Amino acid sequence: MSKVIEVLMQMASNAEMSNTKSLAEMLSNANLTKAQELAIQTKDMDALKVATYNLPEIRCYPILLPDDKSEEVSTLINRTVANF
Amino acid sequence: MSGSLVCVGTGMTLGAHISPISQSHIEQADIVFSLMANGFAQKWLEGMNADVRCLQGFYQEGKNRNITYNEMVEAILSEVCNGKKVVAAFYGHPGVFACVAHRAIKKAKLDDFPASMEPGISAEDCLYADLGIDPGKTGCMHYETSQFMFYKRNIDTSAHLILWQVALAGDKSLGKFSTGKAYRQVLVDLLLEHYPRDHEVILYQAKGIAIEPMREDKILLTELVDADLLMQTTLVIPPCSVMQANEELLAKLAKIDKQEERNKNRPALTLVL
Repeated sequence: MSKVIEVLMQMASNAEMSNTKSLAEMLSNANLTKAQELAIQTKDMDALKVATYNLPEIRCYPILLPDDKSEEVSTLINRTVANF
Repeated sequence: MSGSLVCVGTGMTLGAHISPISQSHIEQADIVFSLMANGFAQKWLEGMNADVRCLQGFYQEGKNRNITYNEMVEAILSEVCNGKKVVAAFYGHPGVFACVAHRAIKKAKLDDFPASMEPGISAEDCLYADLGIDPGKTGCMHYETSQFMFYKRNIDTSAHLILWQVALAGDKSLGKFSTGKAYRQVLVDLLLEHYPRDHEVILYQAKGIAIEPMREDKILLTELVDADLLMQTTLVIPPCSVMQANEELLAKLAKIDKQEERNKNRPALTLVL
């Protein structure tokens, strides 16, 4: 797992990381590049994206359709009806 | 070997929200299909399993989402049919305001494959925590924004109204990544039938990674037309009226209370033969 991801995981899951001193200590021991460390310290998401190589591109999010008339649902209903 | 499917939620914030069972499913799967909210989360997932297949490639601006989602379901199910232990990992909760997991599980079950869902911490969960809203206090209504516009709904202005996917307000094509000001104006006009023009609303976004702040932009309802909206932006409309007592029903309940009180005070009868 990349070091940046490990750091982000630590920050999100370790309550101790809300302590500025502990966070600074963890960051200095994480072997991040200077650019990554600075981006995390300044909470600059765009800079962190640039500083993290091979980051997969996310184009869109799964959402709910306003009219979800999926074929699967109607098939399921038809089968249920046929079973009676 | 028989295939199986588990749809899991990874939560909203990378590393903070995933449940132990979801993580275990991901680690033990033969194949993991993924729909994550950002590249960092995708990378994180790729660190948990050697075969993670991102479903983002199916998206295309202008392509009907119904087709996109069916293609995703087909991709997931084809590996289940190949006898693989498949996990489909979605950011947030796999079954809340997202149809792919529901469709995939239904299809797998129709084909007699074991299929189930593991919940994740959803944007709704984060919203309550971040904005300090208790949905039980005066009630809370949730709608997908376009559906809210397409159908006549009863709006209770004494409860919170939460509109999801507001950036896509009024999109009938199901192919856009966002709709424009004219569409939003229609939504604002609809809301102005129930709320005052100067009503303060909130644009909310949960944080995706530890360094990202959550979004809590307070604007006037009429300013929504020009607001900067992303696909993950949620519109939170606080109540503008107080709850009205249902006097008729309260009278009925009081009558029952009185009757119960009378029954309690009545001396116990003993049957003597």
